[in-house]
Amino acid sequence: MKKNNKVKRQRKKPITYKDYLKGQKNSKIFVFSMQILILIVFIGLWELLTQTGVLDPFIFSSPSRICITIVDLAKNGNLFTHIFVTLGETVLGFIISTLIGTIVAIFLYESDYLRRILEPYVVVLNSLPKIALGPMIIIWFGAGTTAIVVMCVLICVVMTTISMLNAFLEVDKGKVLLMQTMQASKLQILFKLILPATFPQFITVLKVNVGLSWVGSIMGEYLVSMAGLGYLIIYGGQVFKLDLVMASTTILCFLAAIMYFAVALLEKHVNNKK
Amino acid sequence: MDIIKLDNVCLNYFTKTGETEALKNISFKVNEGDFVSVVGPSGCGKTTLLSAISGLLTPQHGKIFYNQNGEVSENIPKNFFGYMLQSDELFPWLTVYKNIVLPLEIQKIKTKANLDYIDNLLKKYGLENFKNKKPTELSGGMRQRVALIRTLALRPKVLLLDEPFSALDYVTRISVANDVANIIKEEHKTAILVTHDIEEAVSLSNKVVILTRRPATVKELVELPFNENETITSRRENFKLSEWQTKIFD
Ligand SMILES: Nc1ncnc2c1ncn2[C@@H]1O[C@H](COP(=O)(O)OP(=O)(O)OP(=O)(O)O)[C@@H](O)[C@H]1O
Ligand SMILES: [Mg+2]
Repeated sequence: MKKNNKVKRQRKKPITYKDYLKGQKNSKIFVFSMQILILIVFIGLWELLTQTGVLDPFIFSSPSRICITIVDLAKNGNLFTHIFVTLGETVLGFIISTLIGTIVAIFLYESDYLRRILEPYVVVLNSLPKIALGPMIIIWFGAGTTAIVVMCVLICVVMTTISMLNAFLEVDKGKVLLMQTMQASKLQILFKLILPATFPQFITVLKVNVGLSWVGSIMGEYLVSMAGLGYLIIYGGQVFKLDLVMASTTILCFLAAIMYFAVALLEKHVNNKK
Repeated sequence: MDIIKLDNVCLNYFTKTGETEALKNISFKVNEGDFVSVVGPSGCGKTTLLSAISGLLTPQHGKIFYNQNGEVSENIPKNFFGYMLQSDELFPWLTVYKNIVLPLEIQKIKTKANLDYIDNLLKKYGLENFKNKKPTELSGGMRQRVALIRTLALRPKVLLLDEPFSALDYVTRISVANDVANIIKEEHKTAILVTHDIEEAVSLSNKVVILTRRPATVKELVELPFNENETITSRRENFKLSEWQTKIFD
């Protein structure tokens, strides 16, 4: 008997809609403050440990040294050159690979034969580590910006094609049939049904490509470049200037985040227009 | 005047595992203004029959004739058919209005007269205030009415309806089926309705084509003309359904 009494579950107190909204808002604030807190603790701890000598600032760098390095780079005038070089390569690679990847996916979608013929090649290309092609790319395109953009495109394009093709193929067959009963042409089915229906997947591909195109451009710069953030990182490593490595990485983080948010903004904009 | 005539239509599907006979020696006529229901067991070939009639599939044997204003031909006149599929297939990213205008856009005939016709239908069938809503904001019955108006937008002579109500619950189904049938009658369309609901077939139509199990052949063609003062609702109440049920399914 006694035991039974204890098991009795206490009912939650009822809440009003106002409470509910307040709770939602509070949880948002909580999540955001925790995010900020983690950042502050991380930076603070890092600074503290290096200041007190627990960590060797020569090897681990430190937030203050990173700031000083960035300011130094900016004063010497070549920080922005490095940023623009890398940003340019990345954005260019991002745009070209998204365009080519989507267009190839459209062709593969439209032609059953093309899709069946090319399937094994796409699979092999997808699993091939693109960095292995580095030396060849340098020989074919020269040790310069072109080679880096090509590297970037190679890394993103196959993924884009595969993802978009799958998205196209998954469009509801009933809707395709509906378009056919209205005597829509292939082009009309593409533009009025397939592309709008797969817009959410397209945004996902864009978001993934933001990450991949940075991988491409930085990897490209490791291989060939004379300027850019990837170059700064490699150079910093070679002359053992960890401050430079960390500073460049920090800037990279910011740039990648900005690019991601730009895509998210595009998504919001298009969804609102719809 | 018969508007569609099927003459010994046979249609087989070819697959890796073999040939499937779907339609076998199907012959019947549809007169202008008819509301024909096609009933038969599941998987017997009802959808295949509509696909053959609409030209999406070509029969291996037999012929289908179409009559456009007295001119009989085996070719399908433009916008002869409006096809309503099992699911409404409204595009969720378009508003109700844009969904309805879609066929006009596809055929590039967004004329004032055609748009007025659509506005008229929207007003007449109680959807005017939902023009700018997304399909997800509508009830199942409303969605079917939107799909019907989209089908009517090209002003087809004949409507092909492939179990358009099967996704609805029983009560909604009855009222939407009545609505749709009334709209079709008011707009003076000819209709061929595929359904597995015998009550629906018997109450809505003046002709019922009963198909056998696959391969589908015409088991019986029943004429059920409407009396002067009969309505769809009154027919629903009057017909002896069990009698029909046994007749249709052995
Ligand atoms: N594309 C296809 N390829 C091969 N066989 C098919 C194809 N489509 C349908 N069939 C077969 O043809 C037969 C008739 O199919 P159909 O879709 O016309 O039946 P139905 O009467 O509409 O069935 P339901 O009542 O379930 O809608 C079925 O046995 C089916 O397996
Ligand atoms: Mg069917």
